[in-house]
Amino acid sequence: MSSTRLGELRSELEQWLAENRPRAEALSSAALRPMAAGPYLAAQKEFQAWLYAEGWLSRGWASELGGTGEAVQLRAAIYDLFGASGIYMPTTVNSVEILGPALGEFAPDLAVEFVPRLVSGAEAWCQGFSEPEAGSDLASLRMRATRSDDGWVLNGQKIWATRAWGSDRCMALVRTGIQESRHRGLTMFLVDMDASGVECRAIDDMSGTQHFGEIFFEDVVVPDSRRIGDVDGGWAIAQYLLQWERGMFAWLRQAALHGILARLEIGDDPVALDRFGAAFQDVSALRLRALSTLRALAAGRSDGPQVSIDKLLLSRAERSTHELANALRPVAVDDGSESWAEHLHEYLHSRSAPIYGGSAEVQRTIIAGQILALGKGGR
Amino acid sequence: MIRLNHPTANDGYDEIRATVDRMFAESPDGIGVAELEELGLLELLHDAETRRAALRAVFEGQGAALAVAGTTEALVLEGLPGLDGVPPAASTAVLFDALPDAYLAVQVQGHMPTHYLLESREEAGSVRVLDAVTAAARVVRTVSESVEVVAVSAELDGKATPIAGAQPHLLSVRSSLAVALQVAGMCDHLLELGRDHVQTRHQFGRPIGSFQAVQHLLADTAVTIAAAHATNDNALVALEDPDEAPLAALVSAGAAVRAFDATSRATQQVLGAIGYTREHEFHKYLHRGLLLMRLLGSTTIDRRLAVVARAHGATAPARSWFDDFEEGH
Repeated sequence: MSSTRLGELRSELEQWLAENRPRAEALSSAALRPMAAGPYLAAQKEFQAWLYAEGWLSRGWASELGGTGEAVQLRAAIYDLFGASGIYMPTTVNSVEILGPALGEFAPDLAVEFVPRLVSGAEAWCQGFSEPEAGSDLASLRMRATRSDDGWVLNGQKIWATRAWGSDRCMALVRTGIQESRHRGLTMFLVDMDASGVECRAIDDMSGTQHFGEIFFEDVVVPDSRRIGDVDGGWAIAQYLLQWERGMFAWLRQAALHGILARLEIGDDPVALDRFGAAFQDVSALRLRALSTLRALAAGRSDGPQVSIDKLLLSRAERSTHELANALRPVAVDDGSESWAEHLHEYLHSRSAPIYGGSAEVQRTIIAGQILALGKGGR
Repeated sequence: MIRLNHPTANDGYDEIRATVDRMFAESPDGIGVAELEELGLLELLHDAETRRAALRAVFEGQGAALAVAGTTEALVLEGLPGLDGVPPAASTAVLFDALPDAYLAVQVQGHMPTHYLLESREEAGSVRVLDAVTAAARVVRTVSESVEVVAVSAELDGKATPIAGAQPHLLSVRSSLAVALQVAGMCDHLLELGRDHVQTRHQFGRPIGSFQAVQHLLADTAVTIAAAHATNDNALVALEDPDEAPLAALVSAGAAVRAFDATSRATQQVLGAIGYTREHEFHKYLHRGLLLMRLLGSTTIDRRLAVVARAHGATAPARSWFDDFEEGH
């Protein structure tokens, strides 16, 4: 029952790896190594650009977006096969998958102009959502865009923007209505990070790298052509984008987690076997839920609150896989292996899973309110 | 119904489920294979269009109703078409490899089996048939008073006759999926029971379901049930694929074990004292569920899953997702 197409793709990858595995592994390891924001982003972009040039990352994107014109499941298959081969996608691909589809859906002209550079790895983009006073309560964000003769003027601050330092553009969710309008008064813009008035500061994080950054906007002029979707229509874009984050980002993660599990040395220790079985279940559940979300997205029938379930499954799969990996090859002390720094980084980063992209508590509240129809009184 | 997936095209589930619910409400204690046939349910299983929806509806409905029926037997026998030595459906019971020294079967009231089907321990995966006289099944007491469970000594494995041509592991795959689907149906029902209770039970002047501690407990429960449904769907897709089915069935059994553990605990917690009484229906679900956990081998499920997954290269089940991506489920 195994797919012929998938089988062909697998053999194609195997043939390619036969020649290119050393370089692929070197670039994949380099992309996982803890480093400062600049070299870290450069390592992701170098790896992504190479995979694109080799013809892997162009497939499954429409031709006007820099791809070969096939459908989304081809991208999913490629990520899956790479993960199973122990080669993990550069993290910049996460942003391509989260931001590319949203731009294509809500600003097709901008997408044709800019997405090809994103897909090819020529550019890296970040997301400007959270603010110092608006994290879980995103709808209370305060960064403002006001109309001017030239378009819009942006003022305010974003924080926890992943791979912000050194990125080329930022998809920013900004207030255009009154503060009390909450999620109804927000608009999305594509802002150049080298525009006058944009300052970015990388933030040191516990994993030894600088995954995220803080961005300051002071009288930044943005033309109206860079507005994505309707004025005050930004929330719908954020919601759409989150669906892709749940679907394809979760899919990318399950591919990597399956790859990690396949490479763990378990032996016959019954306790390790129990933990492996439990972790494998978590990753399988994540895979199957992410797959059903991707299918729903491709068919245009995805349902917002459902993906909160996926996010909680993601946190659980990250935790059980990385805790098992840490039990089998503890990362606290250098074990002399070449990959120690990468394993340490991966382990520490896995601990952020229940927080990034919407905390576990927020997901539970969404499930309770919107799926279980439990009242608001307790929020 | 609390929906735990994206909306899908109408696959007939709701309609079949309504029929199943009526059927089990009318005769909860014993529906044999012959009656399932009369009701036309077996035909729905044979039709490729309705098959997956029908299997889900039948077993989930059975789980939600705590009904006993020859459904597991029907599903196992359906996988052995035209092979020599297969006993007639109406007089067969499926044995689960559930105890260290014995196999267990749940018997439909008024349907004494003449044959038992089992999966061998001495030759892993071999599907065998044992006649009732040799089996000398004895009734065993269980936590679930409402069902009759019999035990057959595991030593009789060697006296059972292998069914030549049967797909290896077919019996464990199909019987385990039958139980996992029932557990998912049971969990759906329990979550709804808990949810309805916290919506209507007031303390401190408001429904207890408005408290975040209660909300998050039930939300986490919903996550485990959603995982059980996703893995069951996958096991149904993989059912006919000999390479994929054993791992897919183990993953769904594992998810069912977790879903039942989480759901039974959370539901009991939010029901409070009333849930501990025999006046409330909760205890029947707990009792039946604990029995089904034995049938699934819940205490060793993670380890067995690990062994099979590693033999599979720890790659994900569901290799066939690519071709039917667009129809999805």
